[in-house]
Amino acid sequence: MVLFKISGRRSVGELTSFDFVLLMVIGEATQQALLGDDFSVTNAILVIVTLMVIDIGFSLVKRRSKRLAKLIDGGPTIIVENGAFLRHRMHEARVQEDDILQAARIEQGFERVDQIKYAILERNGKISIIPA
Amino acid sequence: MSLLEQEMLDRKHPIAEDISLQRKVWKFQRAGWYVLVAVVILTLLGLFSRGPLSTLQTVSGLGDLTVEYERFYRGGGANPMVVQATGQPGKEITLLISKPMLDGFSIESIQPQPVSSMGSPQGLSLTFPPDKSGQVTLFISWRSNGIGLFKSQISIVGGGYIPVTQFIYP
Repeated sequence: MVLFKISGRRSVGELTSFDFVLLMVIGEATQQALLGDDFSVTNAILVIVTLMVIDIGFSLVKRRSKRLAKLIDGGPTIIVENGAFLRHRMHEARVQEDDILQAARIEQGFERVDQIKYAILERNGKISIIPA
Repeated sequence: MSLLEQEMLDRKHPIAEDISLQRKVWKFQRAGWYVLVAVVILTLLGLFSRGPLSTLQTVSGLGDLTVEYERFYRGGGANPMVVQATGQPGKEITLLISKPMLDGFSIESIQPQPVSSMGSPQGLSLTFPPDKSGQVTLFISWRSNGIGLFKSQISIVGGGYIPVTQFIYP
């Protein structure tokens, strides 16, 4: 969790081919670390149950506290406002102009940034476009 | 108000932002990258076994015993150790490996085979025939079983000793 937080939302949002390979390697490594050389069915079930309990626990905690939900999932961030790039925010969030324009083309068929009223970097790393 | 400050104000429309929290998250990410890079560099240096920080060669005070080993180990991994002992030509050399090392590690292979080995509460005694110059070189592959710090020593019976401190990561 912490490692994924560090690497940022983009790694979850849009997978590049390298991200994809990385994810598989992480999966493999985690599986080995969790299972070790214990290949019993009991151990496999225990690992799965533990992970599910953690996941359910997180979702319950998120429902209880809005602040914790923001900490775990993050919040949306506006990165284009009234046709102007908010460059400091884009820099911090590691989003490039091209990423925004690509999202604008795919979602709305826009050609220029001034056709965008708002572009919002969503919690899952996708960019949503609100037309001017 | 600078451009940066203006940009980092919370927007209420079209979504309610918490940009101060978001900036903390960004800062945390930045710091995290440095930590990750530091981990990689430390790994290359050998903080997690096998590297300049970990591999070392020690000589006993009397100069008759040399041990090459690692300071750091990873649980479940196998690591080599080279022991060089000097005695008198024609006289068998008995090495004593103290018990803590045997608690933390198990011997996966040992070359050459000792002519006799004996266990005692102190540890394991291994006896070897020396070569013409009175030397014995021993190659041991250890498999790490335990977790934590193990302070032990390797000694020649009637000769020098080397204290060995080893740490096994989980």
